[in-house]
Order: sequence, then structure tokens, then C-alpha cells
Amino acid sequence: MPSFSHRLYAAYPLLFICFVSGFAIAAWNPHPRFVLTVALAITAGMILLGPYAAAAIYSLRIQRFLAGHLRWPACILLALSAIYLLDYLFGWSRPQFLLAALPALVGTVIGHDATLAVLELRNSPRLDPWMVCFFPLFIGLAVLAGYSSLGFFSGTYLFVTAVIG
Amino acid sequence: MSLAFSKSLASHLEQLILGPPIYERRGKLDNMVVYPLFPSSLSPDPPDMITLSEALNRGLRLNDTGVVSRIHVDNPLPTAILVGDSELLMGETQQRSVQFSCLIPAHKKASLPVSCVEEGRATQSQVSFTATDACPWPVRSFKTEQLARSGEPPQYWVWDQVKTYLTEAGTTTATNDIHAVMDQHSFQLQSLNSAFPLQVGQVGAICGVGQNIYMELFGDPEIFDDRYEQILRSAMVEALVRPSDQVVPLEVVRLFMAQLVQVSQNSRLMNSRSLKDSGRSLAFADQGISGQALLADSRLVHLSAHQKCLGQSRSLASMRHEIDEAQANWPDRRPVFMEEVEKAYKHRRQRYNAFKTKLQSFSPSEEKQRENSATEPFTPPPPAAAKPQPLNPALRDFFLRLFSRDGA
Repeated sequence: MPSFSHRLYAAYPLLFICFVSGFAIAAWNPHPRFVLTVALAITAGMILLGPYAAAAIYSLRIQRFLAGHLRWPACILLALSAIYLLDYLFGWSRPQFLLAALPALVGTVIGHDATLAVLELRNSPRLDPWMVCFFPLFIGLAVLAGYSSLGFFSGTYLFVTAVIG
Repeated sequence: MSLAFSKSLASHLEQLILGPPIYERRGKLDNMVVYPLFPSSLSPDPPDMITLSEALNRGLRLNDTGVVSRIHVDNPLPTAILVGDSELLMGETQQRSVQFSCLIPAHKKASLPVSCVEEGRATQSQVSFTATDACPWPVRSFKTEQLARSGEPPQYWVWDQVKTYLTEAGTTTATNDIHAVMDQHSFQLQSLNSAFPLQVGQVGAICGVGQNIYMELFGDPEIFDDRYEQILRSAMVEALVRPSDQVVPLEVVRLFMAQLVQVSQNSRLMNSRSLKDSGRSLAFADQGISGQALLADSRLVHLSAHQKCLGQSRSLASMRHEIDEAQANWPDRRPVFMEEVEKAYKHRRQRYNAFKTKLQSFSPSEEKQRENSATEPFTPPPPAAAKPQPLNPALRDFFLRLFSRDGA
């Protein structure tokens, strides 16, 4: 039986992409509000928006509309409307708006499919609730880790050059 | 009758197009390939029948009679119902497997021939069957062979066959029920389902599993579409029970289709007194091939067949390149009329969906309520919701593996 860490290791491409995104944001603009926006948007997309989209579509039994393709526009609409609302409340800059919209959309798509997977496994003893709880957090933390590591490497470089002289 | 049937089958098979095979690309099922079958033309009208599982959701009643080999069926719907030989009937009584494919006419009460596939559980008269699933192929083939050779299979032989199959599958069950094998592999069956996607206009599939060929063919693509999941499950469970890396190559499949016509020349007509007016069911078995067919108005409604091809299989690894090439070339090399078939199918499917939506569905409790308040206007319940679809099946499969403790 694969352990928690074995299964998490299988998700490393996704975590690595998040890590690199965080790293890239730090290199582009080290102000913490940008990386926090990305980390929170993707995590909220996975935890809130994706499951909400799935619940809305399947509990209202409206999935057969648009020849069964309603789930795509529903996810896009939900993610973008949520970001527009937050933009209205917080008055984000254009880059920050884009940095919130794209991860929220990706998070919603991932969250929708993850919700279906959880629903399929919900009556099975094989379902690992810890992974369900922690995986979205790991995604957000991977973004923050990527962001922090640039500062760490840069600090280490300065320290080493100072020591060497 | 046999010769006429054989000729009709030959002309039907001649008009079919064998599509490029499909296999599981992640290497999780190296002993199964699926060859899709397409019609060369489609009439503009969809069928006026529905499948058993669809009918159960719309008010069809299946009750145990207390006799092992018969169940009572009451069809309150204004349409015929196709009951396939692959159906496994489940409820709070012993499980039954339908003996042969048949049609239950609209507004008809009938007796359905079945075999018990759960020896350790008593039959309970009047108890309803509420769900269906696929019966694994070895048990189906055994039933078909018996039907073709000597008529109704003796019940204790079926039980022996089920016990042997359970032992071979390494499945332990308190009541010797055949569905335990499906339960044992339920997760893999669910997660591997998407490896063999249904194609537009498809009317049949030939599954090459290890050294076996399993064929399912329907007269209408809509019926095949509705039954596809069960068809796959019936073959896929066999692939999971007997893992190997061997599959049946294309040339053997082509030969099988030619042999099928020859073998069908000696077929036996199945007798079901209460269903004799709605179609003719025939079974045949010879030269290692066993199969059965259902005809209605001289038209093929359903055909299922099995051949054991000992020593004729090849490893999937040696065929991968050939299969990939066939798939890559299919869009350019497929017959030009396939486009017409696809167009006709899309139009038919819309009409068929509308037809199914219009069918009134009453659950037994609602039916009782309806009878009690005959004067009050009855509002039918909403149609059964379609199964949730992922945005990306690969993403859903990834999360199934991630969130599952066995990571399968």
C-alpha cells in the first residue's frame, strides 16, 4: 500500500510547477502581496470554488445543459466572478488581478475534478481524508516555498560572498 | 430458420467497419484491446426501446417468483425494453443472471428466464430486483454453450461454474455470489473505464482479452451507447482476473467474424412462452465459438459471442507500434461515409434522448400513490441525473490515485 509521502511524490510535477511559479514571482516582483495572491487564489480555487461549482452543477441537476458541457462555463464564470468581486472590494492593480484570476481558474478546475474523485471514493475505506485536507494546502505552500527560496538563495549568496571576502 | 438467420447475420456483419484497436496506454491492462465496430449507414430514426437499467429507473418492476430459474417482469412503460444476456440482476434476494437476450414489449407482464448466480442465499418471493450490473464473460459463455447444445442450463452446473470462477479469481464470498468478483475489482474497473472511450456512432465492440475474443453488437448505436459501461465491465473484469500481456491480433479478429457466420448456421431457438411474440432469441456453439442473437422483425437487435483463441495471441508490446499507427491513420483512412454516420448519429441521439425524457417514470411508491389518488393530476419526477463528468478525465484519475490509500 503506497504511503502518504509516496502518493504525494507522484504529485511532484504539479508541486514543482507551483514552486517555480513562486520563484518566478519573487524574481519579478518581491512584494509579498503578489505571491500571497497567487497562493491564496489557487488554494481557494481548490478548496472552495471547485467543490462549489461541482455541488452547484450536480445537486441542481443542470449538468445536461449545453450538451453536457456546462461544467466548463460554470467553472470559468464562478472563478472570474469571484475574482471580479474581490477586485471591486480591494481595488487590485491589473497585474494583481491577472495573478489572482489565472490561479483561481486553474484551482477551480483542479478542485472540480478533485471533488468528483472524492465523491467516487466517499463510501470506500480507501479514501484518505488527510490527503484530501492537506493537498490544497501543499499547493499553496509550494508557491510560498518557491518565493521564499529565492530570498534564501540570495541571502546565502550575500552571506557566503561576505565571509569569503 | 438457422440458415435465414445466418444469412441475415452475414449481411449485417458485411456492412460493419472495424475501427482501429484501443488499449490502455498507462500499461495497467496489457491483456486487453478493444476493436470498435461502426455501421456503414444509419437510418434517421432512433430505436423505440430502452435498456433494462434505464427502464428500472423509470418504473419497470422485476420481482423474484421464489423459483430459481424465473423472475417476474412488469413493464408499465409505453416502450419495449431490451434485456441483455450480460445483465446481472441484484436486489435483496439471490442474484440472477439473465439467460438470453430478449425484448419485453410495452405494457407487458412476463416471466424472464434467469440462472441463479448466488448459491448460498435463499430466494425470496416477491422481493424486487433494484439494480443491474455486468455478468463476467466466463459465466455468460458457459450459459450460452449450454443453451445452444441442450437448452436451459442445469442450475447446479451454473453454480459449479460460478464456484470455479470465484476460485480462479481468488475471490472469497460467503454466499458464492458472482458479483463479488466485480466488487473485488471495483476500483480498477472504475478507474480503467476511461481508457476505452466510446466513439460516435459505434454499434459494437470486440474485446480481445488474453486469448479470448468477446463480441457485443447492437442494431442501434444508442443502445450500445447506453450499455457500453456494462459491456466494458464484463470484459475488463476478465482481464483483471487473469493478468497477462497477451492480446488477440487483428487478423484473428477478422477470421472470428467470418467463422461466426459459419457457426451460426446451426443455431437453436430459445423458448420463452411469454416473450415469444416480441423477438426471436437464438444460441449457437461450435468450433470454439459460442454466441447468441436477438432478432426482431428480421432485424438484428443484439449479438454477443465468444471465442477462445488458444495459441493465437501476441504480446501487446509487439503490437503497440502497429496499433498506434492504425490509430494515427484512422482519420485519413476511414471510409468517407463515416462522416454521414456520425452526423446521423448526433441527430438520432438528440431525438432518442428526447424520447427517453418523455417516458414517464414512476417508482413503486409513486405508482402506489398514483393508484390511490387517481383523480389528482400526477407530476412525473425529474429524469435521472446524468453521471458527473470531470473537466479532464486524466486529472480525475490522478486525484483518484492520490486520495486513495492503495494508490491504484
